[in-house]
Amino acid sequence: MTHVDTPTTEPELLVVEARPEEVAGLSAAAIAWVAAGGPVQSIALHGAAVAWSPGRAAILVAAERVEAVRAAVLEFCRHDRDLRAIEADVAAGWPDIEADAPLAFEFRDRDMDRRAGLGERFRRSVALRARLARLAPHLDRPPLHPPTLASQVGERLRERGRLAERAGFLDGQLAVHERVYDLCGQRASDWAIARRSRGLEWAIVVLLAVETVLILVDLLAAGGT
Amino acid sequence: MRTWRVAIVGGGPGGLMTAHAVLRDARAPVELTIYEASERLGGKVLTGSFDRLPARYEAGAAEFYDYSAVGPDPLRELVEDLGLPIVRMGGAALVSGDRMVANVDDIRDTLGAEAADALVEFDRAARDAVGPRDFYRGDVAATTMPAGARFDVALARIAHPAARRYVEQLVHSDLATEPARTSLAYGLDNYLMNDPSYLRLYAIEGGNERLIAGLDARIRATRRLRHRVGRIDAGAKGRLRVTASHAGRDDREEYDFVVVALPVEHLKTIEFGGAGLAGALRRHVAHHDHPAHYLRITILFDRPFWRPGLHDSFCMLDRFGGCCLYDESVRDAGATHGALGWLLGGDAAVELGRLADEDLVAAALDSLPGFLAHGRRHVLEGRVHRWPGAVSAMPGGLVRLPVDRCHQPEPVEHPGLFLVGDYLFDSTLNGVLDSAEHVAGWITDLTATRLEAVA
Repeated sequence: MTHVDTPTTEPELLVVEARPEEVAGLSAAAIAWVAAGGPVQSIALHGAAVAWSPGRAAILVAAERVEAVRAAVLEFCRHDRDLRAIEADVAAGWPDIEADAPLAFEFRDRDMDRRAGLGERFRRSVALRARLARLAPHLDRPPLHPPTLASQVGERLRERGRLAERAGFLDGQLAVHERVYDLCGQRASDWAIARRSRGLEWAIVVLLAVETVLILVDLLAAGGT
Repeated sequence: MRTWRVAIVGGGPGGLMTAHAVLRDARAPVELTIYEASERLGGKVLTGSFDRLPARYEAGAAEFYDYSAVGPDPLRELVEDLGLPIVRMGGAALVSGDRMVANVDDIRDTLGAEAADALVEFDRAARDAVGPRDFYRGDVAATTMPAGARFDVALARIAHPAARRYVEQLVHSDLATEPARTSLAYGLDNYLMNDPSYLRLYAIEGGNERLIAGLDARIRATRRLRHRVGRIDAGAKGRLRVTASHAGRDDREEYDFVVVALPVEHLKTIEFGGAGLAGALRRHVAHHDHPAHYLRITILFDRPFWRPGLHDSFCMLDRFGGCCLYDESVRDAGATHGALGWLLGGDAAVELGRLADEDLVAAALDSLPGFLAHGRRHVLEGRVHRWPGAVSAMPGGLVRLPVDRCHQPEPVEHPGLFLVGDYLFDSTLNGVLDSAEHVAGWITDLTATRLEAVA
């Protein structure tokens, strides 16, 4: 039996109920169907086969194990999609990082109007970090023992999709983003404080000058009498 | 400054690891001599090769245990330090009859729902008894298990006979003995090591013997191959005298420290001089003498005909009381040939070990499940390696002795004599490294302390 699910937020999913001895013969057609969604990866494991691409996935498995394996594949696809979204957002942030990085070393008056943008990009980095932190426990969780076919398929997909390694790379990239914006924020803050201090210093100078003039006037007036 | 003379008897992994650690940590000049009875170093770590094709296989230790997810793993660190690339190993399936039983779903289908429930119940009891941290520390037997408890008692508690047989077959080749002849703790350890939360398996790409070559390259020592040590006794000025035979002649030399890094079976072949030392070694051997046996049959095929039927780097077969079937070709990236390795353990290894090599190769081919029987057409060459008494069926003994006492059998009159072996810890290469590091640290401390005393 074959059916195709096309949920709005999940990849297109082709599920083929097949006995273990039928799986090998049907795999090629399933892989060809999945290839329309992007580069294909496939696994064959203990009488089941799974192929997936960023847009499509196919499962060939015995009827009684369809539901469990389908859940495992959908879970993997969801995590893979979330990870791809974070990867895309982090990648999109690099031009800003390159443009903003000099402000981590030197901040001037003319840069003051960029403070709001820096703050916004820092908040964006923290939000990406939060998304990754919520996802990470699902990517590197301990294997189930004794395993079920669905747990084995899920583990093999996570291994093949290199989810844990990719999360590790993202962690490193986000650390760079946070460091740059943390330093930029410190420089901007130092600059603002320095500018306020300078104004205060001038005010004190003026007050001291006025006081000196008043004292002089007072002294001159006293000398005259 | 005084140069300390150290002899290491046994050029296997224990001897080389001790030599490496002594030289690495030495705070005083050390002159090392390694005695090895055979013509090669490495002992149970042996990577073989075939004649028909340039293909390798593991003839001895098949894989290493990676504990690094739980705690520090000195062997993994040593492998990294030597710059050796690794390949992950794994497998969850047992071929029962002609069916692959790879997970609980398969167990339910093949053995029935009651067997699956009994297995899950046993699994929970096993992990309640030994958690990953207990497994890593290896001290659970001493703290929580009844003294003298053996593994067959735990197996007998599995309510369903098919589930019991499944567990027996799953662990049989790792135990290398029968459940009645090993401890409860060791049996549970060998069951639980199938769970990646407890440990992961790896091999060294290009052959496990690269570990031996890496150690050998780092060791500055005199190597005496084909020197069989026959006697160790007291020498002059508190030294120890080692008598080794080579080419029909006996050589005698005296050393400040002697480390005997041999399996219990080989320890029995050395004569220890003096009533105190001889008695101590007799007691040591009696306590640790629980021999376990391996037999390895490896067959080269013109192609890996078992794929994609077998997916992992190994699976278990229900033949020979339960044996492990390795896909040896996964160890070499890009290999076009195929090699399968059968690892038999326990009584089957002893009984079948008496057969001729060609009969063993035939028996191995006969043991292939029906869906792989066509593999006979692809056979190129077969190799057999027998490892009788090579490991311990009950590492540490039924009641574990204090670690120092195991390593220094006679501290009063012969404080310079030490023993190193995997049987003192857990019958693994990780265990032999722990043992080697323990003794090397001890020798390093003694040489430093005596130097300070002299100064």
